[in-house]
Amino acid sequence: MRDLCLNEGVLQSYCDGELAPETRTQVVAHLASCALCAEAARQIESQMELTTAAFAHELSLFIPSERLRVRLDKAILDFNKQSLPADEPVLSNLRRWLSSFASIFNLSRQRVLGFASVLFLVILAAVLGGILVRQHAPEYGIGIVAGRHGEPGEWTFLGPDNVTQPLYKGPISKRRSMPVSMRPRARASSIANEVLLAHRVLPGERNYLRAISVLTDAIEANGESSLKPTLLADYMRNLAVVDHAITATQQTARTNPNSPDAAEMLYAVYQSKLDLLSAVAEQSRPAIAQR
Amino acid sequence: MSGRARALTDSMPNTIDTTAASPLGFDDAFTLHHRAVFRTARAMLRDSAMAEDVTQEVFLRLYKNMDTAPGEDLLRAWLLKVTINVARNTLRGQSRSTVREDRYAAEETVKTDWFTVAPDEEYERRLEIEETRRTLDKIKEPMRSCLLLKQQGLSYREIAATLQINETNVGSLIARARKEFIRFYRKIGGRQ
Repeated sequence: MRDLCLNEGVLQSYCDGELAPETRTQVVAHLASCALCAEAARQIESQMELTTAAFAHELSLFIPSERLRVRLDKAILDFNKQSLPADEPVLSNLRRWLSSFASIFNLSRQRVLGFASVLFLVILAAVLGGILVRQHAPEYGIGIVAGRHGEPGEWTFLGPDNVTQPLYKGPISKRRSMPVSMRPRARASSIANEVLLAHRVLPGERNYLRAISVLTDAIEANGESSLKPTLLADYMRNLAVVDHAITATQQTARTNPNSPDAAEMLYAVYQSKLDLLSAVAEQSRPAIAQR
Repeated sequence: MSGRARALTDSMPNTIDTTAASPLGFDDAFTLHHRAVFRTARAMLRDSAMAEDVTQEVFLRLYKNMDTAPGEDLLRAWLLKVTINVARNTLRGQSRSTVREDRYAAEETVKTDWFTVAPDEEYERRLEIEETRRTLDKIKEPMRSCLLLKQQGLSYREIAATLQINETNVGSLIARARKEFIRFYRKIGGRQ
């Protein structure tokens, strides 16, 4: 009757209570009649008990439920934070649109050439634009007369009395000579206008002008040649910008002498010129000290 | 199950199992099954800190896939299937750190033992655990996982779903695993 005996799998299933009801009835009937299988079933049961006992310690080990829950909540929060913007159609469209530019920054040789040519055109446009703007330069104000063939250049202040006062004499820069277009010009045409305006100098203006001339003298005394060429170039460029602003605000302030805003603006521009000059004076002093 | 719940279940895509099963909330799922997930991961990795990482990953995946995860009757199987996968990946990527585990054990002792356990008793307990783990390591897959899951109280159906094997084979796999386990356990523990 050996071949009718139950295999281990069925006996195991029986012991684990996993058999379907009809199969179970058959197994019970067989066990009742077969001592061999009944013994095997008993052995399985005792071995399962031993196994369970062996696993008991492992299963009774501490489980950090609380910490797991806290960690999980944090992870879910992070996940929701990450996925939230993706749910917003507008934001995701924007992100897609922005990311479409990302490929631009993958620099290949062709792209670099492309960028270079665009940059070249921009610079060219800027230079041309600058020349055009300078052709419409103010009719009076502080100007720079560049020295030719290494002759000393001249900083000039075209004052209200229409006398060109030299502010600085000396080599402006050995590398960069100032464009001719920066010279003050068309003086004659504006003489009458300026004489008129000269009588309307604002009350505080003289103090500024005095301070500016003092500082300019100081820089001149220290010798601008002591400045680094790059610094000198910066100085002159900034000075030109400030002077341009002074010219514009002077005009506004004089045509509107009763406007406090215009006067305020003029003083602010004077102040920035003072700041620039004092900064340059500071720079040229240590150079003197080093000598 | 209420009519509303049934309607919910019917409308939900159910990739693993199509039998009627009530949808379980995420919080309930965590409360019910985090122990099984953590224990399985720890038994595989022998490192509680890494088991924590795995548990977090498993439940994060459940959170992301709540709409496609199976119903209550096979949810534990699904979770443990993911657990085994994640733990295997972790094992591949990392070497076990006994230092970490020792530190964890010390922390655990402080947290669990309300009345102090005698040091030799604690030593005995850890020795037993180590023996069980070493014995389990000697058993080949999928018998090993079958036994491990069986000891955690999973049904044959759940074991089959977890390990993706035929349910009719589970009985004989467990029988073989049990015999192997007893043989090695006696050898390692020096019993009989």
